[in-house]
Amino acid sequence: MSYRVLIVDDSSVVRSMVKKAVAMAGLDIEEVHEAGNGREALEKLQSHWVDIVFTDLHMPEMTGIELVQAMARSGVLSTTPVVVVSSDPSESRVEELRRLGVRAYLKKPFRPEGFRAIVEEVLQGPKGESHAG
Amino acid sequence: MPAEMSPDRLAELVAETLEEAAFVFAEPADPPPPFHGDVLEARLRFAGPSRGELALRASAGFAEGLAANLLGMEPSDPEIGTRSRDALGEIVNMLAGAVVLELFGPAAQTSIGVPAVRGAAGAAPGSCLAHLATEEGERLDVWLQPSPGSSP
Repeated sequence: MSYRVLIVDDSSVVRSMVKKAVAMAGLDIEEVHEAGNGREALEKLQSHWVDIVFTDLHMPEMTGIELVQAMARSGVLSTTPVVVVSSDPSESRVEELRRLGVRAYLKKPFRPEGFRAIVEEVLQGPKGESHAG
Repeated sequence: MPAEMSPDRLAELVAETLEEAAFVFAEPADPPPPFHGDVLEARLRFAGPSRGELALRASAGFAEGLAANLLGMEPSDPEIGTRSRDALGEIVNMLAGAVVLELFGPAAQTSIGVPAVRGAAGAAPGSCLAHLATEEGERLDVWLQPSPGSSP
C-alpha cells in the first residue's frame, strides 16, 4: 500500500526534516503535501485525501490543536490519523492531545528509528497486526 | 528568572540538543572564541509556572552548517542560505523543550512560543548566560531571562 502524507509546520526546515524522516521510514509514499499552518492544512485536506497528518502545535493563524479540533468536527476528516511533532514536553499537553484523538506524539529532536516505529504503528497497527490494504 | 538553572546546566542542554538533532558537537568555552562574520540571534518565549525567554547567538556560517546537518544537504547547496535562519530558530525551539522540562518538570502546564531570528546587536543581556564552542571553533552564546507579563 502506498501512502499520502501531509506535513504541517510553519518552519520549512522542520517540514523538510519530517519529509526526510518519512522517506527514511521505508514506507511506500505516493504523495507528500506541505502546509505552513492549520488553516493551510485544512485547505489541503479539502482537496487532497491523505492517510496521515504530521503537525506542529504552535503555528501562526491556526495552531495544531485548532487543526485537530477542526478535523474532528469534519466528519470525513475525523478518522484521518494525526501525529503531533513538537518540542513541547508537557505531559498535560500530551494528555489533552490524546483526548482530542491525536494518535501519537513525537517529541523533537527525534531519531529516524523512533519516527519509523511511530509511523508504522499508526498506519499499520502494533506489530503482529495487519492493517495494510 | 522563571526558575533556577545554572549556566553550566544550560550549556549541557545546548550540547545535548545540538548533538541529538544535528550531530553538532559543542562544549562550554571560557573564554569563548570570537564570532566569525555576521551574528544571528534566535529568541523564543516560554511559559509555565513562570515566564521567560531563551536566546541563542551564533554566526551566520554556523547557522548554514546547522541547516545542512538538519536537512542532510551539502553545505554548498544554494538553498542552504535561505534555510539557515529557520534552522537556528528550530534549534532554539528544540532547546526550549529541554529547558522548560528542566525548569518546570513534565507535569507542569507549559507553552513554547514561535522563535524569532534576527541580526544580533548589543551585549547578551541574560542573567543565565553560557558560552560554548563547537568542534569547528564556532562560538555560541545562550541565555535565559525573565519576560514578566508577556505571553509566549
